[in-house]
Formats: sequence, C-alpha cells, structure tokens
Amino acid sequence: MTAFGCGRRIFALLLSACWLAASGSASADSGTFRVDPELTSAEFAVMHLGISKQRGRFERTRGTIVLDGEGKTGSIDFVIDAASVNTGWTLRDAFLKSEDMLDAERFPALRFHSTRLAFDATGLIGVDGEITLRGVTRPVRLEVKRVQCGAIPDDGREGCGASVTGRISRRAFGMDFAYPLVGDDVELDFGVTAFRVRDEGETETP
Amino acid sequence: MKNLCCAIAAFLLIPSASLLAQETYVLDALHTATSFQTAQFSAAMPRGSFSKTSGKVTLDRAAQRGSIEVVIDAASVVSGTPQRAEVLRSGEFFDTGHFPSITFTSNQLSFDSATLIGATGELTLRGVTRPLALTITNFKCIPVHPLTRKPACGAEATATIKTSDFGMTPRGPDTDHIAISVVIEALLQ
Repeated sequence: MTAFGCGRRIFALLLSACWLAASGSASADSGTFRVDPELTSAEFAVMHLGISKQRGRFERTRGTIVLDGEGKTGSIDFVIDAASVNTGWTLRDAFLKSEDMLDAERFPALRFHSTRLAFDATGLIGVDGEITLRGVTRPVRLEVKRVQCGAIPDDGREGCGASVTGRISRRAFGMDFAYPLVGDDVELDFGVTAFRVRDEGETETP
Repeated sequence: MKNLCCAIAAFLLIPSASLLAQETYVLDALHTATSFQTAQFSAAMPRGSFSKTSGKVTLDRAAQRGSIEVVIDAASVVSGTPQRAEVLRSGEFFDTGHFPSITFTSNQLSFDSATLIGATGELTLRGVTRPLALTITNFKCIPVHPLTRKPACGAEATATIKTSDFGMTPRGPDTDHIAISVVIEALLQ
C-alpha cells in the first residue's frame, strides 16, 4: 500500500469516529505522542478592514508531546513549516511568506515549546510556553479543550486529539505590514491529533 | 431641493420605488471563504474550507428585503494537507467530478433594524437541493474600501447540515452533522 493509500485509510478510519473511549484513564494521557501531520490542522484568523475575519492555515506541522497525567507534568514541541501557509490565494500566500511577514526563507520554522502544562481533574487544559516566529520568541498561553484519547480498532494505534486555541499579537513579532487595515490580534486554532510512540527510537527531535 | 426631487422620482416610480434603496454587493472572492467541521467536536475530523466562493447579495435595508446567491467551487476544498483535500473531492464526500458547484440561494432575508441577521433559502450540494437557514453575525459595513474606494460590507454566515441529507454516508454518528461557516466580504457594485 502506498503512503498515500495508507494515509487515506487512516483518515477514513478516524472519520468514522472510532476512537475507543479511554479518556480519563492514566494510561491514555501518559506517554510520548507524536503529532500526526495528516490529522492535524493549524489555522489562524485575523480581522480585515474591521469587517471580516480572514482565515488561513499551515499545511505542514510536526511535533512531540510528552505527558505524565498522574504527575501532571509534560512537554510539548510543535513545529510549523512557515512556507506551508495556505489562505486559498496564491498572491496572499506569497506575501505572507515574504520578508515583511513570516520571512519564510530566513525563518523556515514557527516553533512552540512548553514544559509548563496545566491539568485539572479531567486532564490537560492549558499550556504555557513560548512561540518563536521570525526569530522572535514571546510567551503565549494556549487553551486545550476536548481532549479525546483512544485506539484505532484496525491497528490498535493509540492516540489523542484535542482542540488547542490561543492568540498572539503579530506586531509583537515584528510583522507590522498593513496594520491597521489587517488587525494585530491573530487567533490561533489547532486541531491536533497525536499517536503514542511505542518505541522511543521513533521520536524525532523537531 | 434634491430630496424633494428624489421624493417625486420615487413617487412616480412607485412599483420600483424600493429598488431605489436596493444595493447590489458582489462578493470579493479573495476575501470570501467557506469553512466546515464536524458540529460535534471530533478531534479526528479535520476541518476544511473552500477557497473559491463567489456570488452576490442585494440588500434593501430600509425595506428589510434582499437576496443572496452564493456559488462555491467544490474542487477548491483545502483541508490541512493535499491528500486530505483529495479524499474530500472523491465520490465519498463532495464528488466534485460530478458536482463541481455547491450553491445557496435565498430571497428571504431577516433583519434587526438595518442589520442583516439571517437568510432562509436553498442549498444545493451533490445535486441535492434542500432548505437551509443561515444565521448571519458580525454584519458590518464601511463607507470606503481602502483599495477600491467603494462601500464594502463583511459578515459571517453559519449553519449546520446533515451530510446524509445530501447523499453522503456518514461513517459515524458524530460525523453526520457538519457546521458550516462562510466569511463574506462584499463590495457595492
């Protein structure tokens, strides 16, 4: 089976909402998980002219999540390929990748790193970390909601999915262009799916 | 004097008097996009969007009337990765080879004073036409668009549909209901 075929199969399986309910148990939210780029969305939204909220996404992400649900500790490393920005308009994407904005040639990766994870009785609820964008590092708080963990019946792979949101000031990272016609406040909205790494050797350093 | 002339003109043209106040806006395709995701959150269901959405809106805010015509290019779907987009274009989902367009039309707009807040019309998806009510929020207009120098309006329209109503076979109970959101920017013609 080709890589594409395999990805397609997993996609279809997950669409069938066949996560086996396992959330809440210590085993489900402890371990090392690798972000599945095919099942992870990295979206952003910003006001345009004060009349519409324009959305875009990055198509290439990777990362590693280490969770100790019992000890309520862990770490998250998440990397976005700056050149993978897609807003549905080639000209706008080229502008976003240009020196004035993401400067993707000089700074190919957007990075998020955290070792400060917040848990409540239900599990992971927030992450305090740093975003590095255009070589500038700033603190950011991300909210984590709707964590679902379980296994794919087909191959037994265990994974977790979650909705992760936050907001940043683009100007704080030196992206001033077209302000205030295009707003400063950028909403971040990630749908992250990550699968448990069975063999520690599988873990990539992002 | 000018007002009086207008009043007389309106009086003389009673059948089309309301048209004097009717404005036609054309969607700015570059700042209009339709996105969707499962209504009941499923981490595994990737969100997606259609980057090519066109159409027009007529508004008579004084008379609280108007119409909406929106055409979505089904093949313009993006969903995180090109592979996912390909799956969504397939016969299992939007079947874009057979049904290249998704359309919504409405002649029944609802207003809160002069603010557009809803539209009831018909959605055609995969060749199936069904009634659909859109909730419209964040309707805002500016008198001068900085580039085109024309009046412009923005809004967000949302609705929830059942994919099984449109000939798709949901693979699970929580993937049948899909929340749709259309971000609209439109320029006065």
